[in-house]
Amino acid sequence: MAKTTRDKVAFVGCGYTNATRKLERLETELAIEACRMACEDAGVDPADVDGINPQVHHYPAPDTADIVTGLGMKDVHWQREGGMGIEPCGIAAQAIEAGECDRVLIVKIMNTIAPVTTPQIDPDSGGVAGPTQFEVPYGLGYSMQRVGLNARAYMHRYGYTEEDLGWLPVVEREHALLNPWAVMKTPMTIDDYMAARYIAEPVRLFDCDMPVNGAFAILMTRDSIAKGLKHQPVYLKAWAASEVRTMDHMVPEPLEGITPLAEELYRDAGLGPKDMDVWFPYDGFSFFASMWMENLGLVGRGEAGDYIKGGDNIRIGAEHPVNSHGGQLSEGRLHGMGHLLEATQQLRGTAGPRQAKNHNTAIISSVFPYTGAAGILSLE
Amino acid sequence: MTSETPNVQTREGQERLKEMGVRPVPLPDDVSRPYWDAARKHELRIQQCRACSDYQHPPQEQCARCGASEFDWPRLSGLGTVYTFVIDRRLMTPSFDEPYAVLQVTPVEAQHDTVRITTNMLECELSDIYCGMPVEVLFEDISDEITLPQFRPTTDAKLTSRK
Repeated sequence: MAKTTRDKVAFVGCGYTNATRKLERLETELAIEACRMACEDAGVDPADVDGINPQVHHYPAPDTADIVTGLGMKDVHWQREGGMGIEPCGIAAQAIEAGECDRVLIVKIMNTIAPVTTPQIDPDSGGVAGPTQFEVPYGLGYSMQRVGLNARAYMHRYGYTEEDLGWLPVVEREHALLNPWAVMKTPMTIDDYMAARYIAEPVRLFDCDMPVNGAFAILMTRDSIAKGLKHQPVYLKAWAASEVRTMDHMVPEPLEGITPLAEELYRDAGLGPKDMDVWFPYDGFSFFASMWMENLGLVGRGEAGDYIKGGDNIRIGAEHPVNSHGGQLSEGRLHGMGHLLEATQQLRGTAGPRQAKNHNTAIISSVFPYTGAAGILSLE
Repeated sequence: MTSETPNVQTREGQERLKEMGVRPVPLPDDVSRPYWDAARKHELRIQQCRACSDYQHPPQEQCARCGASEFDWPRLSGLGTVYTFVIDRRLMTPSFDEPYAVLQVTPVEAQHDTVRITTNMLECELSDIYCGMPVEVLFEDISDEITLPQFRPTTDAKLTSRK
């Protein structure tokens, strides 16, 4: 499923609370603060916002009505719960295009130090049903292990070392030190990265995104409204999503060519991988970012390791900075909202010390590199 | 202590299952039963599509390549190569003690390396495992009903720790 936003829907406001390791305030309070800031950033009265999509990581979710009331929204013409990354933005854009609503807040609320995918075992019998019956009885039940299997196969096939791929988390940390919202505040060298403990070898501690608490909001509206607001509008040029799959069992990774999802995306945008200025590959695990860069055709198949190695190609200041906010590894696990906010800041030129030199377009991906979603943001 | 059912969504729940001595066991279903029935007889058999002859594992209702839904379950030699592996150092699966290895093995008969049998490695040091390592099946009877196919290095495997 893909959609070009013909009527042009734009991202116009960014709102943040700090990402913290512990939940310091109520989820509703955090959500309201982030939403209010996104409205202020855009120059929109919250009373004029008529669409909302709260997304939480773990349930129970805060009551949307409490957020609506606390924010001072008057009429809610469109409402949706959940989702992550670029796909829900595409769905909100469709609602705006269809005339269902004019201004939509999408707010990501991370409300727990979340556990990872765990082995699904019947506590009484030890029984394991479904696809994981071939995995959990052998001690394979966590997403880090599955990522480790994929990463090891990739390194073996293309001749890369753990250190080669370790440059992505290292550079993301450099970027996070320039990002006031990021949770990770201490520098990390490649030696620090290599010295960190293994979780599921070859996956180390800093290959896993950092669970955080906080709320992060983005405001979307139609072009005619966007043009009169504070910042230059950042358009959702195109998006594409494949059938969403969970990571609860192994799916053989395709290791050839760019994905059909990416082909569809570029076709709809009328742009190609070479036109993408700033790159935001999803990095729930560091290896995902390498795979996304290849699956989106940003680098050739098997080339991500060489491209990342040493860090010079992916730093702010390079032709195509990668995850200039620090990614989920170092800004914090925001399930793609951090990527989206930073892409908006980059394109409109408000990224401060993180500003990329070329910033007409950005590419964003969400979730798992074999089954996720991707989108292109543009100033045109 | 509480007698509540452990919450398997949490690490604490998984630790509790481990304390209780719970061992995860496969629950065979209509699609997977031929695999586990064969294992019970100490035979390694996987799905082969009747239409296009592709091997497929784990078993599915349809062939991922051609969409056909009729399969044979030929007996394999039990020889394969390690496609990839991970060494668990920190996580928590009941009945497993870290560190332990989880491997994916491609049978020599398979046409593609997307055919991967998840297994542990027996009779081998963790530090000896490598991608491409030749392995052979053996069978671990874990209960009266269930046998797990497992793998160990063949005599052709290069074992650095045995030098």
